[in-house]
Amino acid sequence: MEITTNISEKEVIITLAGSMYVEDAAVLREKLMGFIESGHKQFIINLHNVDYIDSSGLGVLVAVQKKVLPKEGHVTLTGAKGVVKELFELTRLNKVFRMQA
Amino acid sequence: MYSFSSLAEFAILRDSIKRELVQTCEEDALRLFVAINEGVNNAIFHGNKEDNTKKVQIIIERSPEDVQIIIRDEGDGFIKTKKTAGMELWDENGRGLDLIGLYVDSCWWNTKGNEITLVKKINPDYCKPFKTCTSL
Repeated sequence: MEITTNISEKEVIITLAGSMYVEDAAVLREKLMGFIESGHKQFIINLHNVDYIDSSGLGVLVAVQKKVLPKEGHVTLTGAKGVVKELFELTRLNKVFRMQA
Repeated sequence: MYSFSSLAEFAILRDSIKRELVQTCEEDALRLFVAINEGVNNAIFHGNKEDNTKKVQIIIERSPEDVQIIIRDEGDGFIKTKKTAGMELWDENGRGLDLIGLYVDSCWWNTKGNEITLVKKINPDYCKPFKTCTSL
């Protein structure tokens, strides 16, 4: 999985590409938690080019959302499609995140 | 049959498994892969507890009616409890079994709890006809 990061004053934009398996989720968790420790709390995660995400990846995104919500931050997910979008809907995680096309 | 001892070995096999699933039933391939991947993660991490001396096996069998997948580890076995039976929305872990349940028609464990069988019925409207082996 490719993880590309763009940081502005207001938010961190993470663009993911490929399949997110358990080993990729561990890398993403470390990266995102590092940003939170540095004071970032607004995250936009682009899933447009993600064709698969497993339960560990979903868990990392939930963990980040739980960390930033009390700080008035938020995780916004953009571009989810196909099975990835379906996974968020079936697990009702589309209620946990802001989902944008 | 696929046999491996670690996540790294499974990572090498993922594309082959996907290809086999596409050949088996293209429309359901990715959803079946979701279930297999979650089952394998459970087998590696919870079943074999990342012990690389222990194997995980995957067997994929197609019949005219369904695809049956067996995932077997060499661990002490898994007992489904209330805690593992359903995910809470904000839980960070524990979605694997629910994802399996969402993407197959039925699943069950052997008595020991170290082998899960997943069954997905074939939709004849969009799956290729089942081809039996023919003698040359």
